[in-house]
Formats: sequence, structure tokens, C-alpha cells
Amino acid sequence: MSRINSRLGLIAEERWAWAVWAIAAIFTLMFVKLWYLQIYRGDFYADAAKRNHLRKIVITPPRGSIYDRNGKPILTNSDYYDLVYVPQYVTDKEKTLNIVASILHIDKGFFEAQIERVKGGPRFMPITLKRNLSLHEVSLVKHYQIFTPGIEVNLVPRREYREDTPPHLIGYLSEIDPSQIERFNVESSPDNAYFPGDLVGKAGLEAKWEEALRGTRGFKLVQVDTFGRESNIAGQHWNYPTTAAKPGNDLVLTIDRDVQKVTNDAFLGKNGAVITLNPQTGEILSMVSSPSVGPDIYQKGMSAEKWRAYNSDPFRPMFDKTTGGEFPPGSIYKSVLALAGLQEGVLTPEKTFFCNGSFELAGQVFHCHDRKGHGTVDLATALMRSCDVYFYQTGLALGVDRIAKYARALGLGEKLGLGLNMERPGLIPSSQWKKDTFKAPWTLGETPSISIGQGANLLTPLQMLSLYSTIANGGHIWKPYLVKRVMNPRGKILFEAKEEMLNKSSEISDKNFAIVRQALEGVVMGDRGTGKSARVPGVTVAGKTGSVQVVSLKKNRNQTNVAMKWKEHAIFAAFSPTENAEIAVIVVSENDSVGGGGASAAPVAGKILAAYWEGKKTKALKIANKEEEKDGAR
Amino acid sequence: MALAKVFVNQKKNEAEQIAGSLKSGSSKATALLVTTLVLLAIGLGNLYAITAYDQANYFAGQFEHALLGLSVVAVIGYWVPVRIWKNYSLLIFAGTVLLLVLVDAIGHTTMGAQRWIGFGPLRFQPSELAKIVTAIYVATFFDHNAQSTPYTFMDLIKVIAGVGILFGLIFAQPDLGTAGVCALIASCQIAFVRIDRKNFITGMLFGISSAVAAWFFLLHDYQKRRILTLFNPEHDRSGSGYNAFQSIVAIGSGQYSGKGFLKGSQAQLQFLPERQTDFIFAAFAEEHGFIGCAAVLILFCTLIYLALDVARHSRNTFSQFLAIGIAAFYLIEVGINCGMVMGLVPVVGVPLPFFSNGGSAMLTNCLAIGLLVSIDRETKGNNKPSLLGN
Repeated sequence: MSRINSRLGLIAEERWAWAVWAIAAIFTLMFVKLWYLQIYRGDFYADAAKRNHLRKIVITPPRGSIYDRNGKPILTNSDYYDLVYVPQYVTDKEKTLNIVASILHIDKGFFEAQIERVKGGPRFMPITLKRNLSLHEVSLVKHYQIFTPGIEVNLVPRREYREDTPPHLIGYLSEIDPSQIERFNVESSPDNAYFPGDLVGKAGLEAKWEEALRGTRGFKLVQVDTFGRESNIAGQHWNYPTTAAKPGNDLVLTIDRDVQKVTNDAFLGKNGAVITLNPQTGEILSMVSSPSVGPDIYQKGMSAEKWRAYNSDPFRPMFDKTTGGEFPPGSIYKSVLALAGLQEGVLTPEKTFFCNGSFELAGQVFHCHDRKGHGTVDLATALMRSCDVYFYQTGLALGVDRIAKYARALGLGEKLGLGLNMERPGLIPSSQWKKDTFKAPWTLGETPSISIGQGANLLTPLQMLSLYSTIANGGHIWKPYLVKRVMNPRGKILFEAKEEMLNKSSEISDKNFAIVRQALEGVVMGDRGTGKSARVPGVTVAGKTGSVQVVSLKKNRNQTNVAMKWKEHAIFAAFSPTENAEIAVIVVSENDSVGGGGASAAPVAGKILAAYWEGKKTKALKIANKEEEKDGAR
Repeated sequence: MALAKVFVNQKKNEAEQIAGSLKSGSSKATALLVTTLVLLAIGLGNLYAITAYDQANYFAGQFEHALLGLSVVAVIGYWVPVRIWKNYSLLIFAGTVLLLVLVDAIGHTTMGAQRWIGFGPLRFQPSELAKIVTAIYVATFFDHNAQSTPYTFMDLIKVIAGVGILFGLIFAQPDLGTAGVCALIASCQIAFVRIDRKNFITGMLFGISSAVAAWFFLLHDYQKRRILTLFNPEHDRSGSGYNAFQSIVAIGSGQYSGKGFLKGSQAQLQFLPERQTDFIFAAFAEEHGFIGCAAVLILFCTLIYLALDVARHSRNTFSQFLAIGIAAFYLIEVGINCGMVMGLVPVVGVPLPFFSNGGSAMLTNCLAIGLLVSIDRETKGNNKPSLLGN
């Protein structure tokens, strides 16, 4: 054949070889490039393809629940309905939004703003149009759903705040501050980092136990097409790993829900703080700070107007007074003086002072709250009738620094370590403190005031309670605590709290504690006791009233004509029974409109104690009945 | 023993007979047909996979085109003698030019270019056919103008002008890819003859310089702008860089053995643009990996080599140049298309034979195969039972 071509002379013979070389070169080049793309760089491009079509979706874990000591729920989650808009399925945005706006009676512009806010997101991602739909709204939306493709109702687990959920104790959730994220993320594990928009505990137990409650977020991979629509075609979705969200751990509190309810009910209408605890362990049974703001308002959203109203309220509803409120302890501080006096030998139970209604020190007159005077009083009577003159003299005999020493020995003047909401240390004045703070020496004239718990003395309600539980248990200062145990969702115990003794007041003898306990019993049980209204039938109660003057009202002691904010704080601290007490209670009623500690605070404590013992009796009865039934069955 | 000897001899004879029949018979045609059928089957299967989840399913239509194409192969390969094409080449050329003019005048517009012409319910893309017409035209030229001395520029001016007309008309649609393929086919065919290089280069330089002079002195600004936009056909398809990247991601992510039939995320989820036409090889590479690509490239390489072999063994100048043109046609289309999706050459609209969706391209490809079979049969001298006699 080549011979023929040569004869024609048309085709140059070597061109055939050139052609073969050209073909070989072109195909070799393609093979090399294919090898480079698919084998050499294959992993890289496989990743690039995955990044193209896979989106990581965060699954938010439900937060842990909170239960009381008997396993009754205090704070749980429940499903809420959110109205969402899924761009991928919407056919006609205008029409869809018009329909939804008209059935829910919400301005269309509001929805448009929600959609605009997250513009540019993937089209399969639901955009929340409205949170927490009512069931009525849900039924409306479902009814019209056939006309509104892309409008859906999503179930979202949220905090279920009960009527009796104690707001300050539980705290609330709010979106994480952008400035906080970095700090939070240093502590949390990198695969469970906080993202903007995450809800975090902002106060109370929600904040203190954030790490335990928050759970671990899960992830799932969603396959999307080039338009950002979720798609299951090309069927590889089964081998995309899904990491399930781990719900948060549950807290079991020392709180008794029944006691908490009684505490709340008994204190209704008053401002201040009430706490009860077990003096033998430090377990807090109930805790109320009033007034309060329901934690659900953070979830539902709050208007700026409401926010201002809450913030300008003189009784500070946002503020937890149980640990953060510092009040002059008033007459309940007299127990400290009594213990110090007995221990130092300044007092004996038989020691008497004469009270004529006032006491003069270097020309300065200190009045007793009873201007008529108590006459000759011994220690028990002085405590029972809350004689100020008796303790002015005891205080002067002890001196400020010896009072301070015993106050500190009883655990006052420093934080107890509950660590909830801005716990404050209170203040126990001493000559050194005066020198440090005011650069002036202590004057003798200041001692009588502090001897009756006025003046510079400041205690938080929790410290007052701790003081009386220390007296009740004979000198053991227990660290108060709220969380008994932490359990994972399967019920495995991750943390079990143990009672922790902060100190044993070895400075004060058991005998002296017993003397004071007996005297305090007289306050409630005695005929002329100031705390009579805290009596509970069938059980002994020991306590001490206190009425704290907010301002000196020398001329007009008639509290009824005084503006609210100048009214006395009514305080009552108690424990029951007198020996081997099971429960201690503190009631601090700020600027009480009814009267002092005996008239206003003691009845509150009485109600709580009565309910506590009643509840205990009922429980015991139930158990007895059950056992009887069992016996009968046998 | 004797019986055994007879048997062995008998077998020997049989083997010789088979070998002889393969030598004399249309073994090349058979190989061509087998290669074509395998490529066609893979191409159709791939098209099915790529558009399986699409609302517009291209498979059924393309399957019809393929059946039509196979009948074209049969008719052109076994009924129409090669010389018919030579005899009617001027008519074919003139008809194609007329069709291209018609397309420019009244054709359908797709993707900003007028490429289609309608015959009732049928639509046809004459520019696809123009690729083969170019080959026929150049082959006819050399058949008529055979000479033993090297060709000078003036010797070739007629063929350059003819191809130039086709090029210009297609280029004006605008379809730079197809126009370029036509020009390259003609260039490959011309490359097989001896050329007076000095003369030819002088001529080319003269042509280019006169074109440059015309550019600066004769053309108005708006005309220049219009021509410039023709050179950038992808310019109005936004983000052709994005397309090229997605194509490379699709190929690379196929890795060694591919993601599997129907499982190419790049193609199925539509990240890959033009996945049923220009970028179909990327979709194939994604689902079948290096192994699949290698198999397809080897098949194409075989096809091109067979075409070249048919050309080499032909005794007829026209047939020889036509076969060279067809080999060049496949080489250019495969080279540009695969090179484009791999990022070796810039993105231009050239379909991959037997893979890309499109009736005109399918018919053109089958026509080319038919012509090769016909030429092979002519070489073997056994094209007796033809419709139009010998």
C-alpha cells in the first residue's frame, strides 16, 4: 500500500508515524492527568466533593432536668412548637407568608425580617418564624398547610417552668454573650464548644451547674445539591456518620418540693428571703427570695418596658437575697452575745441586769425597744423578751473584738461557700476593721449598737440561718448545699455530695450551746416570748425574733405612719425541735408592713414548721399503713 | 495414526481458512463496529445514570438517536459506495453552507448561540455535520488536485478558502468549538501532504498580515467588538472557572474505582454543570474512577487507530484522506473534550462522541463510522452488494 502512496507522491510516508506519535502523545498526556487527578490527588478532590455536598447540622441536646430530694420534678423540659420556614420547599414566598400572616394575625413584615436575618443560609435549614406556638395556632397552621408548602411546625425541647419553680434558685437561660464564648470554650471540650446563639445558664443552679446540665451536642450530615436543597439522591447518605446528642445530666437537689411550696406560700406577699435547712447536715430544704421574676420570661422574651420596670423595682426582683442580700441581723444577733458572754465568763445564766427602758453611756442614751423597761432580767428572760439593755451591757463587758472573735468562730463574716448567685460575706465589725476602713479608732459608743445586731453588722439570710443551725447542732458549721447528686440520663450517679463541716466551734462549750438553746426555746414556748406565733403543736421550737430599724426613729416609733422603705425589717430565726433539731428556718422580711420579727416573721416560720411536721407525720402514717397492709396480706 | 494426521491437517486447513477470511474479510470493519457498539453502550448507560434523577430524562431520546445512528452506519457502511461522496461533494458542501446560512438567519437559539435548524418537529444542528463535510471537502480537493511536487500556498488556497467559509459561518453562530474542530480536521488532513514550507509560511504570513491590516484599517469599532466577543464564547456563561473547578473535583473524587453507578455526588446533585453534554466525561470519571476512564480512553484510542489504519490501507486518494479526516475528527473531539474536563485545554463546547447527549452529534459520529466501514470494504474490494452498483 505504501508503495502506491509513494507512487502517487501525495502522502509523505513518514506522516503515518507522526500521526501515531501524535495520538500516543495526546492519550499519554490524558492518562497522566487522569492519574494525577484521580490517584495522586484523589483524596483531596474526594474531600472537596464532600465539602460540596455535605453540610454539618448541629443537634442541640436537651438540658438536664432538676429534681427535688424525693425525685419530684422541679424543672424539666417539654416540647414546644416553633413555626418554621424551609426555603427549599417554598413555591411562592409572597403567597405563603400572606397566608401565614393572616391566619396568625401577625404582620407579614415580622416574618420577612426573620427570613432576612438569616439570608444566605442553606435552603434546607429551617428558619424560625415564631417560637412557642399555642396549640390553637398549631392547629391553624396545620389546617392551612396544604396551601403553604415550606411552612412547618417543629418540636423543640425547652425548659418547662412550673408554677412552683423557684426562680432565683434555678436561675435562667439566655443566649451566650459573644464576649463569654472564648472564656467558656477554654473550659469545655473542643468538640462540644459553645457557638453564638447557644443558650447558657445565666444565674442560679443553671449557671453554677452549666457544665453538668448542658449535655453534648450531636451532629448529622445532610447531603445537599448545588442549590442548597437537602437531597437523598446519589444514595450515599447511609454511610454519613451521625453523632447523637447526649442529653445533659440531671441534678437531684436537697430541696424538698413540698417544703419549698409551703415556704413560698407562707411568705407570699412579703419581700425578702426565707431559707430552711437541715441543721445536722447543711442540706437546704427550701429557698425563696421575693419578689421574683419568672424564669420563663427570658424564654418567652421580655419587652424593654417590662425590663425597665423590673430594674427600677426597689425590692429588686432580679436579685437573689438569700445569699446576696446583706441585712443588719438585729436581735437575732443577741445569741452570739449570749454565747460569747457565757464562754468568756462575762455572763452566767443567773446573771441579771436591771432594765429601766434605757441605758446611758458617757452621756449617750441607748433605748431598749420596750421604753417601759423589762425590770430585772436574767439571760433567759433577756433573750425571751429581747431586752436590749441586757445586751448593751454584755457587749460593753465583752468589747467589740471579743464579740467579733466569737462571731467569726460561729462562721459569720465570710462566705459559706454555697456559691449560688453572688454570695456575699456579710460584715462583722471589729476595731481593726474600723481602723482599716475609716482610719479611726473604735469608740466605746459604737459597741452597744453592734451588741444588738445593729450598726455596721451585716449578715446574709443564709448566714443567719447557719448561725442558728450551728446553735441547734452544738457548734458544727456545715457547709450549706443544694445539689445532692448528679446523674446521667441513664440514672448512673456521677457525683454524690457529702455533708462538709466547715468548722467546729471549739471555742464554745456544748454546755453553753445548750443554755442558749433552752433560752431560745423560751422565746417561742414562753408565755411572754416574742416568738410565740411560731409555735407548733406537739413539737418544741426554739428561735429568736429580730426587728431591724432601717433608720433611727427616735421621735416617732409608730411604724404605721412610716413610708414603706423606712419600715423595719422583720427577722425570725428558728429551729425545731430544740434538741437534735431537724429543721432550721430563717425569715427575713424587708421593710415589713405588718410589724417586727415577732408579729410578722415568726408566723411565717410557724407555718413552715407546722407544715413540715405535718408532712412528716403524714408520711410516717402512710408508711405505717402500708406496712399494716403488708402484714394483713401475710 | 493416519487418521490423526488427517485430522491435524484438516484442522490446519480450517485455521488457515479462518485466518484468510479474517485477512481478506472486513476484520477492521468488525473491530470498528464492536468498538463503536461498546462505546455507544457505555455512553448510553452513563447518560442514563447522569440524568436518572432529572426531570428531563435524556436517555429515551438518546436511545432513539442511537438506533437511528446504527441504521445510518448500516446504510452508509454497506449500501452507499464511497465514491458517491466524492461525486456529490460539491453539492454536499454547497448544501451545508446553505444550511449554515439558514441557521444564522432563522435558526433556534440555545445558550446564546444559533445552532439549530428545524424540519417540522425535528431539529438539526448543521454545524455538527459540517465536521464530516469538511473532511469530505478536503479529501475531494486532494483527489482532484493530486501532484507529486510539494504544495505551495497558492496550490492550497482553494481548500483554505472552502474550509474558511465553513469556519466563518459556524464561528458566527457563535460556536468557536465546532468551528475550531472543522479547521483542525482540515489542518490534520493537509498535514499528510508535502508542503513547500518556505512558500507556505510566506503565504500564511501574508494572509495573517492582511487580516491584521484589515482589522486596523477596514473594520469599524463595533465590528471589531463583535468579532472579539466571538473569541470568548464562555464569557456570558457566568463562572466558567467555577465549572472547570467542579469538573476537576468530580474527576478527582472518582479516585481509583469511582463512586459507583448512580452515586456520583458531583453530577447527581448538579454541582457539575452541563453534565449531560460537554462535561459528561467528568460525570463518568466520578462514578467509574480511573479504571473506567482508562477503559474508555483505550476504546477511543483503538477507534482512532483503526480509523488511521483504514486510511493507511486504502488505495484511493479520496478514501484515504476522508479516513484521515475521520480519524482526526475523533482524535480532536476526544482530545478537546477530555482535555477540557481535566483542565488541559480551555473550556470550549465540544461534545464527546457517543457520550454527550445530542442527536446531531450522534448521527455525525455514526455517519463517520459508516464511512470508515465503507472505505474499509472498498479497500477489501468486497463492496459488491451495494444499492447503487459499482
